[in-house]
Amino acid sequence: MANLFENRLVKILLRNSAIAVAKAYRYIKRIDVPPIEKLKALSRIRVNNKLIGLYAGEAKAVMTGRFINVLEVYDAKIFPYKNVEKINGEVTKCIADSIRKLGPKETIIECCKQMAGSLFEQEPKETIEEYCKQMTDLIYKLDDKINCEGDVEEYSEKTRYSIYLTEFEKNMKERSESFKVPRDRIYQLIDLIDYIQTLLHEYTHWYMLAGTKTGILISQLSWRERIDIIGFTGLIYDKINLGKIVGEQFAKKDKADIIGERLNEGEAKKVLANMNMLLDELAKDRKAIKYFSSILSDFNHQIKILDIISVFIEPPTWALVENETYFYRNADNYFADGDLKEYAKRVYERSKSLGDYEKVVNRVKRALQIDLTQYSNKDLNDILNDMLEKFEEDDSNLDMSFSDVSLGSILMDLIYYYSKNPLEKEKINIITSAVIRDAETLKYVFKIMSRYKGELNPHGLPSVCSDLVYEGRLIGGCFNPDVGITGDKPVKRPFGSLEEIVGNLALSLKPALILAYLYSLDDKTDYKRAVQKVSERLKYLGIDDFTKIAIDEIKDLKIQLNKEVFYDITIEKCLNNDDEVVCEKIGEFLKEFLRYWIYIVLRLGRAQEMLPNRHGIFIF
Amino acid sequence: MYDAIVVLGGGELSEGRINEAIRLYRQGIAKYLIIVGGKDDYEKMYKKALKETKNIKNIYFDGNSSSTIDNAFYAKKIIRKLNIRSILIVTSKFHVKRAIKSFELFLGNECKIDAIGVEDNPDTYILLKERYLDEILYLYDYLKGRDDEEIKAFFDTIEGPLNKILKRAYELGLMEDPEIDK
Repeated sequence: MANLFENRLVKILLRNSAIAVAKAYRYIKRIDVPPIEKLKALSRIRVNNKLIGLYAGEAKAVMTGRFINVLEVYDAKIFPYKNVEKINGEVTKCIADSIRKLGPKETIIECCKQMAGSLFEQEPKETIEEYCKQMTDLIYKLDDKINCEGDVEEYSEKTRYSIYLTEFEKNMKERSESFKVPRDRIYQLIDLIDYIQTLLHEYTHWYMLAGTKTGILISQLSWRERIDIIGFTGLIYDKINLGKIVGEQFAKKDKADIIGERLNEGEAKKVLANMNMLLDELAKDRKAIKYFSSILSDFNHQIKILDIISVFIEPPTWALVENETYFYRNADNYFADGDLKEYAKRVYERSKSLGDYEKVVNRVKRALQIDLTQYSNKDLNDILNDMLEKFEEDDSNLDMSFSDVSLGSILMDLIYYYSKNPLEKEKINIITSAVIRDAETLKYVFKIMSRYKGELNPHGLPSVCSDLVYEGRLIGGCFNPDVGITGDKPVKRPFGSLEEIVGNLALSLKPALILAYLYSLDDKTDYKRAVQKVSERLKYLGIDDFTKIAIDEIKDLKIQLNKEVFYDITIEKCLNNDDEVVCEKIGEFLKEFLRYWIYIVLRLGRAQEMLPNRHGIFIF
Repeated sequence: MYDAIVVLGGGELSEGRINEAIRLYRQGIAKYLIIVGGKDDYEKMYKKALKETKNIKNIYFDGNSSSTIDNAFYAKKIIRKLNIRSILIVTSKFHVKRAIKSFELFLGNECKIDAIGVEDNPDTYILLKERYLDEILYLYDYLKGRDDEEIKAFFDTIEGPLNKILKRAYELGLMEDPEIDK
């Protein structure tokens, strides 16, 4: 059974496009919001020990909470400006404005028309429109053909581009004798359409979840995860101040760690050896163990929900916005479990037969209106059956009583959740201390507070983050409809994400934990694959030895990670029952995990931020 | 006419508030006078009310509050006990809106709630703070329908951090920064 679970985790980790999780407060009546305290009930849903996607395999996008995160690196030259935030905002708005009127393929063409102007500056609008249409047609047609003709892996990106180029040039020459556009422009056009397609795919996930009870639950969990991560990282800062241990060139001493230049292997190992006693103490600290257990618990909750919603979100999206073979090419990767795959197939086929974008989305929304917090005594199949029943109900029974639920209410529920337990309540104090410690942080947070005077998202758009390559550098940024652009350039603030008010160490916690989980498995194949994927991203930052660090050097450290600690039952026993033995076991794991995490951080320096994961709700 | 006047303690501002409450009480607009405040406020207020009204039977007090939400929470216990159906809250003028919202949160439709604001001279920080708190009063609506204890626990959690943030923002001059308001 454990192998099955592990296998499914890996599938999740390595799949093409990670699951959509969403902004979820716009439509639901306040009374429909499941109170956060009921989330505990979920722990009885089938446990599978999977952890949420660290990155999205070959690539595309990840959505957590209420933002879309595009991890695929596209060349920013395809866009008319450098600001990633602006690009994300414009493409998302275009998709949102077009999708219901035009349907998927025409939406891609429309958004391509809007964005492609700078690629073909000399060409008239009509010609650009024709380019977009021709290339979108080709991508729809040829992707299927390419994929049907054999192993997809055989087709490198270069081959794929070259096939498109040949066909495109042939088509255009048939229309005009004088057709001559530089090849790199055509490649950029392909990139642009790919990018729009990626966002459309993820937007569709988001749109399905937005406003549903499941969406709200996910929003709550995402916020809880953020607060727990801030609490834990803040605690780690207090107990292990890297600035004091390593020196100010590495991390500031006067506030939570802001990581600097990386250390070499010898230095990092020495530092780690020197902090052994501190780590021993921390492993016995009950508060640290509890805080860490909360984080493990958050992960498990998310994984369980992920399992459930993936059946109802992925196949319909594939049916709507991807080509004919997509389901058959990806189903095994997404749904390793035979039962899940059967459900997914049924949902896919039904979505295909319905065809209409809005109709399918509404069916999915109806399935996601189920209140998962009420399913504590049922197993996964029962939940899926109930959801399937909702999905298949005739549209005449459609009762979508959505109204307003704001981010405010979600946050209020969360504060209430944290108010019930003194240890949990301290996390709010940790955040407060971090906010008031630094004038710039306070200024930024205060500004946000002042701006939120009513409902928080009147625009009905998801937040979108992405990383693009611009002049050989990896640049990132987020468009956030609630607070405007949230990238590091336009908004002057001392942190890139709320988590970083306790130092930029916070954002690498979750990816490090996921890597640690994979490392805890007996078979290290998937760990190596994950490391390889992370390495590819880190190369943009000039880090070309991550594979050596994460595989060879970690092996030398003889880190022992017990995978049982990730089991729900273990976490619950410590978190809720104060089971001494189990808490001790988690403490031992905590020490080993910290060795793993800190070593990676020491070796990567400030590049540790780029471990590919943005978690929670990236609102500010 | 009201069943009770509820006067809220407010540190240095308590004197003006109790004076107004006594004045109104003497006019006979309510049967009961309820004093809710912190341990430093309520005793002085109670003694003054007792001295000037000489009506020990109908004056009630509670000294456990450290916030407006506490005022409403503890006043409700007295209001319930006396089966009161209408109240007139006496507080400072700048504080009226939040006081009403807090009492509504606990009393809902159980009781008619009015308030009267005393003109006084709070310091700049208190006024600026109130301006910011006013802007997040809509959040109170999300707590409607919860148990009283839950509401109190919620505010007990958030009040300290919020006060710290506002205080620090004031010290740094952010509250009066026109850029912040944009």
